[in-house]
Amino acid sequence: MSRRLIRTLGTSFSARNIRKDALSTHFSPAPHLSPSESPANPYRLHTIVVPNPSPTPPQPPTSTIDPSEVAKFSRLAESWWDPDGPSRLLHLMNGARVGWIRETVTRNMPERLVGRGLEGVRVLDVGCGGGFLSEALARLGAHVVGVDAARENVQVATAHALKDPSLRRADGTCLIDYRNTTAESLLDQGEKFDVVCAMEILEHVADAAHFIQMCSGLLKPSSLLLVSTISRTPLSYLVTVLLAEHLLRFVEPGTHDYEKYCTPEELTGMMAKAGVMEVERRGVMWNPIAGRWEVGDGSAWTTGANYFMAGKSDELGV
Amino acid sequence: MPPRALALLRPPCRSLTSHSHSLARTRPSRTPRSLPCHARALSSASSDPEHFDVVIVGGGVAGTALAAALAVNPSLARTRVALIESADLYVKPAHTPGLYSNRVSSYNPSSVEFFKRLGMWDSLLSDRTRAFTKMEVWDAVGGGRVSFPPSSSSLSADPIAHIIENAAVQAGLVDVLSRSNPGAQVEVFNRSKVKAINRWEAPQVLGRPAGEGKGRDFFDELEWPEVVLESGKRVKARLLVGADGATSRVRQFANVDFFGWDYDQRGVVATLRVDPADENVTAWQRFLPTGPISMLPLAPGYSSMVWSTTPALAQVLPKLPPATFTTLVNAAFRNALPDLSFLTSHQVDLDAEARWGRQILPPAINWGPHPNPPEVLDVQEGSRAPFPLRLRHSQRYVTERVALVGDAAHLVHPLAGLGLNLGLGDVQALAVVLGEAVENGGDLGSIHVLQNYASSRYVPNLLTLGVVDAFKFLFSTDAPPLAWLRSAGMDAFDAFEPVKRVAMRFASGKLL
Repeated sequence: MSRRLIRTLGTSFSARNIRKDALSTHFSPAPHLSPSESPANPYRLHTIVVPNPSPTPPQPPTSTIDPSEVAKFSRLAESWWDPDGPSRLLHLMNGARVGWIRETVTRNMPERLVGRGLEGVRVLDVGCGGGFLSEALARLGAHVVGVDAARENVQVATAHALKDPSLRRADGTCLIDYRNTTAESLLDQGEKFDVVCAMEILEHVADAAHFIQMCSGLLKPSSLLLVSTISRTPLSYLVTVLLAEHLLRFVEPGTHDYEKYCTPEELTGMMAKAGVMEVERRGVMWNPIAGRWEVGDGSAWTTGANYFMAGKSDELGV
Repeated sequence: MPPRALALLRPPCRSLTSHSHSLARTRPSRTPRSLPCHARALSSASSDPEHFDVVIVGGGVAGTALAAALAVNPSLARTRVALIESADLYVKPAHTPGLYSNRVSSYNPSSVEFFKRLGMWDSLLSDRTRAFTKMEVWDAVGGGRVSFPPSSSSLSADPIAHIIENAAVQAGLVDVLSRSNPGAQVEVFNRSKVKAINRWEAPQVLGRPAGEGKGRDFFDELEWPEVVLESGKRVKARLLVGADGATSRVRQFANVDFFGWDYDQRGVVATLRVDPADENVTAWQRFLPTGPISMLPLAPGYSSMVWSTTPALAQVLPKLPPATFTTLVNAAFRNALPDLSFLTSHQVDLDAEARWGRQILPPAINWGPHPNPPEVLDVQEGSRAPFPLRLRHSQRYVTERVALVGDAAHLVHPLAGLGLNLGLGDVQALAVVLGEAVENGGDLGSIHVLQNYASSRYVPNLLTLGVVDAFKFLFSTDAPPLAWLRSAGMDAFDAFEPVKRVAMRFASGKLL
């Protein structure tokens, strides 16, 4: 009952009433659907089957990746772009995230922007998932590299981006450089970026401090590390675990691991150890009445659950 | 009784008629929602589809206003917009002195501010645009009355709304499109009829990673709605906007239900010549049990009328000799109800009977201290036309890559003059949402973007429709207890100024 109520408050009428079949559930049916089970009409509504050539995700090379987390998000791969699927809140958060990224980059490195939006900067999206952050940043003109440890995610993200002509080159290849790899490998390859985005990933890695260290290593001098994550407070437990997972089922139970959450102070410390100085901190709150995420200031009151933090590498590089 | 006031505040408008061209053209045959691959190959041989970020079907006031709003928004500088209109968008309004179109609408202050932001308001300020600053609404059964503005109010100088011919507004919007604008590039497909709207459906690609080795052709055909024009031209839409009126083909394409009912009334519009001695700055509305009759000022000596009445009478009214019609309109505003029933149901000497009815009423019952509407002298030839009165609301305003605005999304009883204003509210909200989406790198057709539009408009529009419908119901009876309560309520409301101010804000489009 309460779930229904909150959904009513949090979504528009139309959102609730949308019939599944009127929408494109891009990646259904699931790969396990054998041809004999598939419907008679081969031209069914928007159905692309993304095959799954490797049932087990490749073992990531080093330690910050948590294998159980990779498996968890591989299972999510098919539903990344389902408007009513488990990523719904993340989709809704995307506008707030991208707005903050655009403003933060404009404020902190205006000299590198050459045109509108984010033109002129090379951005890394760590843990790109279905690619909705990468797509938005690419539309704003950034040169985007999206990496994910789960191969299914990279396939889903590539297939989805290719459907948008504005994200396709003339030769039909994808404008976004999606790679099935890890931040560690990029570091080994000596890749450098103007902006490294680690959005909604810190709470899923095995060793947060090491992860921040690695991301920092990918920064050019005077470049930005942008993190979006969840603080470890009673409020965040209530909101992200109890409410979002168990009571309202916005996201699947087990999506979040409270023990892995970092407070803003802890994150500032990790960044500082990696040679990255905090330049911005903003709280992010879900407004169930308006049905949208709102970016607050950086006070302790607003950063009690979800928050954004930006850090800048020093002039000599990390 | 604050809610009672809400719908009283705006005079009727003829927004229903603004989409007459689309009413006429659409009796759609069922277009196939999918074609097999070989059919695709055949049709794509003629020409490749052109991609647009926004394709607006319908160049009525709502559709053209949306194109104009996108064109002036600098955030949308790289956005490509197509506006498809079946009639001629560039036809100039006649503007013959002394002749007025019967297609006029009332524009509330919100809509006027929108026109100002588009930079077209000054061009609309002519002697053919009439502001009204006063409003008299009264009940024929109980004698209850509400007057605007409140006598002591500081609001008195502000216009309640402006009455403008639809053709003039349309021409102003088209002028905006032909300027050089900082925002979206709008391409107009003028006099272009829509032959079909399709969504290609991807064949399943079993055993092959999507996208691998297929390249451009494969993905081009995916998922975006495609509008086929009668010229053979095909346009693909990242976002397809249905501004194509009550019988919207876009809505049918998107498989969205249109709920509602037809009222047991029909409307009749007419352009009237009225007593030139009257300053004519008041909107008049009298609730008769058969429906409200309203008179809106067009210019000194000219008014526009809409009379909602029984289907039988609505059929007769446009055919009556002008003098008889004029007499009946005067009687509908001035005579006692039994008189009016008598006049409309018998073969009588209308003129003599109506004058006699007014003479025998004691002045206190007849008009007393209340202001009188100007006497109607004549009706403009060819200006009388009946139209149906309906209430409809779309089950939803958005689906993936489709959004509905204006009459395609909702139809409302014209008694409060809200129809076109609601549509312009939709247009402003959608333009804001699309501007924000582009700034945040969003996909304009994505359901997550469009839901912001739907959630800002759906409930307020539904509420407005409901309030107007409740008024229609409330005033459609002359049963004594309800009629008495109604008039007592109107008088109480009239005496209570704070509530009147809230009602005024609702009517001006600033409360919701």
